[in-house]
Parts: sequence; structure tokens; C-alpha cells
Amino acid sequence: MKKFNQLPQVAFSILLALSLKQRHGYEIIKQVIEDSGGKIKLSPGALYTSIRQLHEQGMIEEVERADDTRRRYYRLTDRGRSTLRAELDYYEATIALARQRQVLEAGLSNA
Amino acid sequence: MHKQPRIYESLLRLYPAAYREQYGGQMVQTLQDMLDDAASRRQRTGVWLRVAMDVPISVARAQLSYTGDSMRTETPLYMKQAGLAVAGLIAPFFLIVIINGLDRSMYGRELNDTWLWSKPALMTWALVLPGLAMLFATVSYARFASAKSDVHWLRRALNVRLSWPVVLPGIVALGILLLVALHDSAHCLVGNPVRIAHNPHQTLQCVSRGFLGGE
Repeated sequence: MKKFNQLPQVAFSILLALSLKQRHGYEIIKQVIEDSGGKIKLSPGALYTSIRQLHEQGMIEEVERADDTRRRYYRLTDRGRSTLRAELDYYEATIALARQRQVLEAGLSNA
Repeated sequence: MHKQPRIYESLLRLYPAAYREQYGGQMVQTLQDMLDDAASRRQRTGVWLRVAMDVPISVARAQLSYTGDSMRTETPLYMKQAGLAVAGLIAPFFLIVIINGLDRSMYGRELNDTWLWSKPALMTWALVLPGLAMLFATVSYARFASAKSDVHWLRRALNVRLSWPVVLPGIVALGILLLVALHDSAHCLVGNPVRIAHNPHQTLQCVSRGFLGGE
């Protein structure tokens, strides 16, 4: 079984935002806002700190675009895609478990 | 299009140079995109507020991250060895303090009668080991400062980002020596209040006893 390392929330959101297509910085910010229902609003500092880490870990790569030389675009690598897959599998399994235990329907109790 | 966010460009100086070089232009461009997309003055204020809250945190994260990187890639091997060796020299001091504290609180026993509290053992862990640690740190620091480099040796020696692994153990060792000296002086002063009140010379002797030793 592949070792699972849970991603920080911002890194996970960036990978998810890049899962459909390559995007530049502001497009990532907008997609993350949309995906999180407005709960995660990134600023350039937080965005590029995470981008740097993801880039160093080989999960995303830069793309040169002839139609837009001012901006740098990013896309998922194979490693990034498999990490995102593993992360989503984990959440899926967790949600299934919560449903099985009827946590979502009954709410959480302290007992 | 709005005016180039020059304030933000100035704030970028707070980030590590390598980070700024790699991402600075993109960060400014992203902020420019955010401001261009903000339809009202209120939305633009919101963007600036988010940036203001984000800058201190992301600067700290980037600086810490780059410090870690430079430690891994730029710190010469002997500095790492010096740091480890010094930590090993200082460790017995903390070990004995912890053992003493546990023994006292759990069994009500003092270590005064054991070999750990004998004069040679005390001298070793309270004076000789920290003294050796300081010597080791000083030699390592001198080697680090004088190592072949394009940077002037003084500038290199004062570069906290690179030199702290050899400076820190020296400071800790110095702290231990001061602690032992002050502890001894305090015992002497508290133990002889009447004599000291009438004899300033005795007070001076008490204080110096901690630092210089002697009965």
C-alpha cells in the first residue's frame, strides 16, 4: 500500500484547482475560492509559498505560454495527480465511514 | 488597469532574495490581476487587507523555509559536527539536573551523598564539560569564519543564518557556567547573612567564590 501523507489544506486546494487544467496564479486563487465556497481566500504570499513547496516536491510544474508571457502557468505532474488521488480516496473513505456510523445524520455527541 | 502596486514591490524585500527572484514578479502580477478584477473601491480595500494580513505570515514561512534550506545545503559539515559534539558535551549537565529533580520529587532523596555529587564529578559536569563545549564552539566558529569564501571573514562570522549552529552551543555553555557560579554565590550569601552584614569584604568574597571557586 502506498504511504499516505496528508497534504496541508492550501496545498490540497491548489492541486484540486489544477486538476482540470493549467492555470496562472490568479486563476488558482479564483478556483480555490470557488471550490471552497469562499472559505479559502489566498493572497499572493500564501499562494506562492505553497506553490514553491509543491514545485520542489515535484507535484506541479511550470508551463511557458506564448500567448501570455507575463504570467507563469502551473500544471499537475503525474506525482501531483497520484497524490491528489490518494488524498481524495482518503476523504472518500472517511466520508463513507462517517455515513456508515451515521455521524452526519445524527450529529456529534460527547457521550 | 491600476497603477503598479509599488507598495507591494517594496514589501517583497522582506522575503528571501532567492524567493523574491523566483516568485516576486509573479506575486506582483497576481496582485495586479486581483486589483484589476476588483470592481469597487471596497473590493480593492478587501484585497489589500488580505495582503496586509498575509505578508507577515508568508514572510516568516519563506524565511524559515530558506533558513532550513541553507542549513542543509550551505552549512559546512564541520559546523554540523561541532553542533552535535557540543550538544553531547552539554547533555550530561541537563541529564544530572533532571535526575536530581526526579529523585528529589519521587523518592525525597538528595544526590549529595552519591558519586554524582562528589567534587570531581561536579567539577566535570558543571565546569569542565561546558568549558570544553565553549572551547569547541570557539574553534569551530573561528574555522567557519576563516574558511575559504568570497565573503569577507568578518561578514561571514556575523552571518547569523549560517553561524548560529556554532554560536548557540557556546551561549548555552556560557549560560551553564553562569548558572553554576550564581548558584554558588547565592548559597554563600544566604548561608552567612550576619557575617556578611558586618563585613563587606566577606560579601565580595562570597560573590567571587561563585565565579572563581575556593572556600
